[in-house]
Amino acid sequence: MSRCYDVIVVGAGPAGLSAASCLGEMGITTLVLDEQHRVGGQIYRRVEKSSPATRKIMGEEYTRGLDLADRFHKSGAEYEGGATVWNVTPDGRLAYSRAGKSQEIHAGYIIIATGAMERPHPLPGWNLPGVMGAGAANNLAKEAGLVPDGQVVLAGSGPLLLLEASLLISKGVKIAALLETTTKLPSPQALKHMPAALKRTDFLLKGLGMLREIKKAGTPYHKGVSEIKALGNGKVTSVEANIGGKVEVFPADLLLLHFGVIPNTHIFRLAGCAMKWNSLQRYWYPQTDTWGRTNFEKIFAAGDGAGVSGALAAEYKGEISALEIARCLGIIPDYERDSLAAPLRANLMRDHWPRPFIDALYAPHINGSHFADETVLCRCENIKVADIRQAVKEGVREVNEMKIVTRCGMGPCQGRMCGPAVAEVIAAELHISPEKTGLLTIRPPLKPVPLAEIAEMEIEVSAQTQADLFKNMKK
Amino acid sequence: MFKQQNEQEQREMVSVTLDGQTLKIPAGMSVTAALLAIGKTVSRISPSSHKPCSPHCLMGVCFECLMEIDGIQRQGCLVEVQEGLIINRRLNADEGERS
Amino acid sequence: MASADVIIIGGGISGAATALGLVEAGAGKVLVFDEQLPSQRLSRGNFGLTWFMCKGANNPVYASWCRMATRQWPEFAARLEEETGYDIELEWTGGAIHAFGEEQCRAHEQSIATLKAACAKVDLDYPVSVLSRDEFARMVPDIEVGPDVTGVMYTADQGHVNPLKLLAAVRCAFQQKGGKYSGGHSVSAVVPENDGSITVKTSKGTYHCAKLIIAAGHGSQRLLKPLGYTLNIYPQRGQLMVTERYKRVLKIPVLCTRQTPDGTFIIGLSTEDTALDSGVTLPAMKNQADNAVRLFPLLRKLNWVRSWGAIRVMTPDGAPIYSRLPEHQNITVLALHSAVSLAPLKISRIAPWILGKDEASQISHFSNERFNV
Repeated sequence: MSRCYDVIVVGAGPAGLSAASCLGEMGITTLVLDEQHRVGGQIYRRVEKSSPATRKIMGEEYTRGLDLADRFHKSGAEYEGGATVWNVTPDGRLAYSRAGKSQEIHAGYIIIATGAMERPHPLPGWNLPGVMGAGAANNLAKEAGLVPDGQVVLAGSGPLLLLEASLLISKGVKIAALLETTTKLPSPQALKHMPAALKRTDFLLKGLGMLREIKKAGTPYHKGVSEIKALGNGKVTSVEANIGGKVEVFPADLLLLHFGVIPNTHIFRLAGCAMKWNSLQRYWYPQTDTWGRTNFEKIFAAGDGAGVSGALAAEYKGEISALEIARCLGIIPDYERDSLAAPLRANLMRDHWPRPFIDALYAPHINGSHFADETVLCRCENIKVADIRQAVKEGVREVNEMKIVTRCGMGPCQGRMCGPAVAEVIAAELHISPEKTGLLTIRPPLKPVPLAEIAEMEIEVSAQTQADLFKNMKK
Repeated sequence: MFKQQNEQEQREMVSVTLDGQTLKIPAGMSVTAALLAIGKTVSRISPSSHKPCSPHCLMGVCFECLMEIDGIQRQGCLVEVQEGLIINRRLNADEGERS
Repeated sequence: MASADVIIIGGGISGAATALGLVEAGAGKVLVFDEQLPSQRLSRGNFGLTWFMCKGANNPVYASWCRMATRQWPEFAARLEEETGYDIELEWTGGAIHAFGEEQCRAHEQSIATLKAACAKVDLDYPVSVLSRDEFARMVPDIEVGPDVTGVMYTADQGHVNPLKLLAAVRCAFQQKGGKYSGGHSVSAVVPENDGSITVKTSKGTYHCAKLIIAAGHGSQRLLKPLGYTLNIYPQRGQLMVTERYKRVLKIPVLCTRQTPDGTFIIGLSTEDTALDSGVTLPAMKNQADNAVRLFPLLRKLNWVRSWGAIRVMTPDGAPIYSRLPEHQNITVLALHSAVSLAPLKISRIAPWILGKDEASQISHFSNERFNV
């Protein structure tokens, strides 16, 4: 009999930690599995080992993770880091690999709190060494105390781009250029949400503060930029961009890209969860009820993986899911679940005020027809935008069909880096919404696993499954 | 591409074998971060384009830092640095066991 | 109402290859409707062997049909590649089936004897033999053969291909020659008219044609049912796994494990009766992984990166169904597994047969009515 838990939580970021803490505190047998080796997820990466200097630069929004981690350690929930989950089924089975061994375990409930990722935005030369996600630079600072060196160019769109720029400035990094694709003036769509956002002046003031920092540092800051290209042979040496109709070139040793954040949904799709399309933010997310339950009774989605709303909201949502599971397990009655959830929901609402404004202000302006033909879409298999367009001409209308015809999305990353953009290109060619081009079917393993680990797993193989080399050949 | 923010900070260094050579890399972080810390920016040669790659996401999504660690291809950003790791990036075409 | 000379429902390998054969044979205006549903995907989940070995032990006509197909493969592939520019990665290297232990070796010998006898009935040789472990090891010098392998069944006259590139190339060639392929196009009903022509109702309007080919896999039943016709087919799942790339060390495909020219290993041999569930299961993955690493221990250290399930269109005797509907002679159904191996015959034999240009005796053996006795 394999190991069994009341609840398995996948991911030790804000949502996973708060959910597991809440469950652990109620004496519910809970296991947290995380790919990283320390708790905190991306936002609170390595917070427990961070130096005072790092804490000072990263500020309160980072050190909040210390309290979360502390609560988690005291909660009684179990933790296994360095654990790669590679299969999840709706009936509560989960397979993972850790320290060279794979095993399948069971749970009454599974909370998936695997967070978000930067939206991969293919552009010419983005696969050159020296081009990274802005989030990667942020992670390197937290994990290894590293800061960019040489000519650093930042490009993309979204509040986190500006946040990263201001963080780098505060660390003494000189930014050679900040290239923003967002238009100079907010859209009417964004202005509509301005009044709600004003209820959180603290939030808006912080944004203005960031802009002031960037200006004060004398950073060349361009808005409404298009046609960004990374140039170089063997590594990036310059960045080209169209600025107000004029093509400019910036020398660069490092290009950091950021085009917003999208839920990391592979694990939900693997489990077979029903997915929904957010047409403003142009991303897929798992359908959930107000407790975070997906269409499957036993599978919950918490945090940014269920729809991007930031670290604080993730924390509240994790706990809200935990309360509903505690009710299902018979540990608390309905009314207690509701009264415990009430302050969390109030916090969630307060946190949510500025989001429609921010979301509309930085809504992705993606037009699949603007991708350059020579851009490598699928980095793993080296498939270019032109290859996708050609396949559409030959009749392909769906992302899975695209995958089998071109190999796009078939490499080790399994479409994590190309999936969203491929849908945009197909959709633009066919003049339909990306929603109508389908979603890549995700099968195990979610992450690569050595065959030896599978061969050595302790699972029963029934006669039905037992390989019969000749079953079809006896005929 | 990157430098240490606080140059005075003393970091624990451990010995590993990188592409056949023994060298010291900082501990307490992932293999990918440690290699960037010592200026090794190329993580692998793409088996499809045959061109060099560098890490892109540092959070387990992009698979650009796939490298052979103790005989298995792994995402370097998800492997913690340990004394004695044998890391092979196989940067030369003729040693491309996996290309 | 749009009209065509021939409409093919189903753009998998059999439907697309037949369509290509039809345009080449001068069938006039030919349309293919393909739903591209990401579900059963027999033509998208194929292992990629171009084999005759072991096929037709109880059916000499099927044995000779498979043999004829494999003989046509090299020329078929060369022509397709030349016309489309696609590299479909055909390698004519022979193929093997391994045996773990003496008992399995003896079963191989028995299978060869049975098939030799069956083929003799139709004046066909059966160039298959059992090789010892050492003989096989010498044929694959770059990869260690596991200690559990006792021997293999082998023939030099077959190979393997990239089934996905094959599908894309066939569709491309069809369109180059004037055929019209319509993806994401679903058919809701087939209505035979009194004059023998057929009306086809689709998600994008109604069409009219002189001849109709239904090659929609398990989806064919739905269209045939209102015509009072049932295909003798059942679903059988196969699960496949694929590894990361590795330098080329295995040139000869083995039934359950082959290395593709780009270096990945494809592993799979499951044959399960699971209705239309195309999911993958851990027990099957474990079983197949275990089998593969026993066969080639090198695979132990390679990462498994992907898996999928696909639903075979299986018939009670394992041979294909090529049938004209008795009541509606202008409607033909194609229902089969092994579509890759048999692909060349869709062009050389099936398309001319549909057009009434080739009434070869063999095809009559593959009617759906053979099961209705």
